[in-house]
Amino acid sequence: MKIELHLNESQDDLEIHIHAKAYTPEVAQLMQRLQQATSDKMVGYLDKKIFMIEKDEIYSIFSQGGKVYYFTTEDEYEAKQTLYELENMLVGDFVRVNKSTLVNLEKIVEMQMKYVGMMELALDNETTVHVSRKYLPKLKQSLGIGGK
Amino acid sequence: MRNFMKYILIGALIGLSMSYTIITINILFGAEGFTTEVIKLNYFISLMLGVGCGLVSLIFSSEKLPILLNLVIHYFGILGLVLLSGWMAEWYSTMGEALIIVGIQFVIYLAVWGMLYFITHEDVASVNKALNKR
Repeated sequence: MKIELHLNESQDDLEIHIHAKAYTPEVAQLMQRLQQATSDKMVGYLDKKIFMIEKDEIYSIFSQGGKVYYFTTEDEYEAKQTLYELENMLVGDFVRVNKSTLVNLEKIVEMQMKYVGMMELALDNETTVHVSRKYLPKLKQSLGIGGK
Repeated sequence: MRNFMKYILIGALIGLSMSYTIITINILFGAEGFTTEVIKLNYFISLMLGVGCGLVSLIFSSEKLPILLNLVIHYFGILGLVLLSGWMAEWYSTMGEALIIVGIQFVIYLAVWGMLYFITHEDVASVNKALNKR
């Protein structure tokens, strides 16, 4: 893939043109990534339909059975990216709290400690997400604990 | 696989170091009976014990289980290995001595769990404080 950058002082808005032989899955994925990088909406799939989901509607993003899902109040939408890609794409908004889950920082109400020493995050939709000790430093850093 | 090898290697090194230290202390305090054969056997058993402990410690890689359950599984795994090694190397000769090993290990694990519980409690408090500040 060839990437060219043209700088022009008279250019008002950022424009990205993709030149391709055909509309392939690679092109579709590239367009989706570019779109998501510049908007607050994520593309989710449910029942063979495509939905544009606002980032702040998503409570958590989790992987299960090799697939990744956006968990919202209404539904669970499938994402086409990997959890790792989404983690990098959504830095500052979402944080990984265990091997298979990212949590929307704005949706966290409190952290709870269970009697056996397990940690859980309570979200404002009254669901809880398990926090792994391995990912606790990332969560603390995202909340500004212990410096950046 | 990398994690697996890391745990085995660390376990083996801890086993050998402990064995070396204990044998050295015993010899320094004039303990008798440390023939070449006995020392070789003790090194070998300690090495195997270390590897076994390293493998049992892989339980802590599991994110699904709570700390307490991890510690309980680890406790019984290590206890089994220690008792087996002790029996092979004749570290104890009576049931009473074996029970002392069980008791000491129980106290150590209880202290470790207590510390982990305290650290987790502090972490939870600091996260909640940061959440309340937002």
